[in-house]
Amino acid sequence: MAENRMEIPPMETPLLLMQKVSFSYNKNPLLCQIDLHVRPGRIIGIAGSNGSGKSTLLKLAGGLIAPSEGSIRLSPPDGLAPVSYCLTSEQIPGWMNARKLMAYYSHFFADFDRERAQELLDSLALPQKRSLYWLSSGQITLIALSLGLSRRAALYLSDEPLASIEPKLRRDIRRFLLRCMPEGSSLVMVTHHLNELQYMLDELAILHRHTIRQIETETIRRKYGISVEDYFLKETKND
Amino acid sequence: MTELFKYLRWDAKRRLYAARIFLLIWFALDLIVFALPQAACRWITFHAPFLTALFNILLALAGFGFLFYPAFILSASWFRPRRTMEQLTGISTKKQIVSGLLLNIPSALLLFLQSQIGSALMQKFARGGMSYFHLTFSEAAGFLPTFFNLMVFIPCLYLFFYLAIGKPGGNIPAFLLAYIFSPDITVLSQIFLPASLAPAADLVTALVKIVLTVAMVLGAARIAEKRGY
Repeated sequence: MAENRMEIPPMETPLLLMQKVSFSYNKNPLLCQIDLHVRPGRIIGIAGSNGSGKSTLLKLAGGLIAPSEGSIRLSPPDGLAPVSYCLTSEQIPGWMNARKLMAYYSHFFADFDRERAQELLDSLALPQKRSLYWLSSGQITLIALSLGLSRRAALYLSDEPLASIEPKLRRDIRRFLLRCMPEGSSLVMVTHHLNELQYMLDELAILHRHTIRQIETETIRRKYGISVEDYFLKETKND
Repeated sequence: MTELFKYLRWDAKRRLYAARIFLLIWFALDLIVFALPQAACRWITFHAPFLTALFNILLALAGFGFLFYPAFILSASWFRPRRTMEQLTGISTKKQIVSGLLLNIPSALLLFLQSQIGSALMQKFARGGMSYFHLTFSEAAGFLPTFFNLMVFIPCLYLFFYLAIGKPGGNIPAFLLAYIFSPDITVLSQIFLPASLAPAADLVTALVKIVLTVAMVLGAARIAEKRGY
């Protein structure tokens, strides 16, 4: 089995530190002894083949599920929530709308900034009272990201924000993320769109055969002279 | 406790919104039948009996819904992506199950009320030998034990088996197991009852079921947390 590898310079106190984390679904191992760290102010992409555990890793980082082994430590700065998990379009019932979703966030999260959320939603110029049934997945993603990013958190998590979305809207989402990410906060996102995001990502974490390899995207370009997607394909070529 | 009530408020709103079309249709049907003049009801009875049959079937569905809906409430979305919204609230799985159980009660009462209202309205179509669905509780059954059985005990057994089976299609085997075990537990607790406690057999059975209910809730929560549902 491949070992975890990291090509990351020595770090300051990480925001998120996962050490030897393992997780199984119904006794089938999915993640084995994963080490992952996230520094403040970084954007990290998690890539891997289907079923490699990317979404599970994100849920572990978000505290939605517990690992069967290992430790997960979040060290947010004072005054910030440790993590904000941004919902995806499949995770929100269709009968909800932007307003009801905002009410859900206000109801459960003390760190939710309602004014900022309203400002972000207004900037999107999307119908806020219309049920999500009537919106496209890209529009729902933008709404979900607005609300997720409106929590005062140190680490934001997003699962495939560009999935099943047409190119123009993908560009809008990329720009939206860059514009709205609070300074000093980090973003970890699962993605398959490596070439589109390569100049946005500071680091790439590849999930392969139950382990993880974490590398700076600048190192990929400088040391290997290839694109982030080509590096991913090279690292996972035996699949 | 505050956390539980906070979650309960949201859970109730969520379920109400999810069921609103169903509730509106029922309300509309009741209003239509209520507003129909007796002459129109007589005409329908003789010339369009399929309409009374249809309303009768819908009543029966509401009645059966009263029997099975509590379990449905507990089992909704354990294996679906939308479960993430419940997980995000940070409330423990145990409290989510307890919230579902508490919401069983008004939901099932609503269905029971609907079957009673519908039955009363069906009187407008009654004639001669015509019979129609009418859900009643007999004195012998006892309202409280039956209510506890249907609203709490069987749904808890069902949820435990459903999560233990661990697949989205596990509803039917879980139902069967729950409905087989429920009377068995009543029988077993009375077979093994010491002679001295025989006069209090019903109370002992009730206590056994309460203890098992708590055990099923804790067991179901543990399975869900361990498997990451």
